Amino acid sequence: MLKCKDLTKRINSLEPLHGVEKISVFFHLAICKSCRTYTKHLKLISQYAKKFFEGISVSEETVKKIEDESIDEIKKKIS
Amino acid sequence: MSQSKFNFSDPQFIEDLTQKKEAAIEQVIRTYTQQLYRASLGMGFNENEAKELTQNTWSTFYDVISRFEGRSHIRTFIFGILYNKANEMRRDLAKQRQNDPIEEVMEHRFDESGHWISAPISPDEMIDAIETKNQIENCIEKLPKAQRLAFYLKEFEDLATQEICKILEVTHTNLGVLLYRARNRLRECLESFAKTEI
Repeated sequence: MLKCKDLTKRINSLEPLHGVEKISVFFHLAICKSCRTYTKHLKLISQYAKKFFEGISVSEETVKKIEDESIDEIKKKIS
Repeated sequence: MSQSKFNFSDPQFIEDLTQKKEAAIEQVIRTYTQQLYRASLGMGFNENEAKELTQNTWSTFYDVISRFEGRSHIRTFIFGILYNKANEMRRDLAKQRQNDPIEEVMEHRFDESGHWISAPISPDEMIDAIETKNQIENCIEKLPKAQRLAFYLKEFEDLATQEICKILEVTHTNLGVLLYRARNRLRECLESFAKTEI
């Protein structure tokens, strides 16, 4: 029987779930409210973190300036 | 993410690049500066630092581009340089590889039989911590750099895990550990804010 502690590790792992494992995760989540909440937390964190990163403002003007300065710097190296 | 339809994997283009042809280098700079600058800000550098980091990345890119063999995407190569430059600016690589206190925190969340000792806060309370108490930024700020970048590349840039591994020079397992730690650190951080009355 999969324990809560193992589940929190397993669902964060980069390895995809296979066969029996998939079933045991499914059944564990079906009966364990805390683990369901935990997975919801992860989804919320992912969703809101994405929003936060999207909200970082990058002005085109600044980007253009960095591009120009970097290119000038490299031109100096070439010549 | 401003990636044009330009084919950066074209062998002729890669050859021009490794021969340091100005037009090819300019093409790469014009395409990826925004992504690099944004990633630098995403890693928690301020605007001046992010600008410096981006420019240093391009300067090094020019110095080492002759070594690029075209086996990975040019973006992976560039982000790899960015990551190394970022670590030069903030040397915390050694710390990141060792034990992270979050592992112990997680250890204490469960009893001997592996069940939660106390239930996690409800999703609504979590949303409250994020939205009302506006803590996501605060908690992201507290992540160690490698975790933060791994998390950023996965969640925002949506890169394949293989590519992130190459950029950060970590194994698949190590990347899993970084992401596990980042997510749980964020979760614990938000939960602790949810529990404090402001």
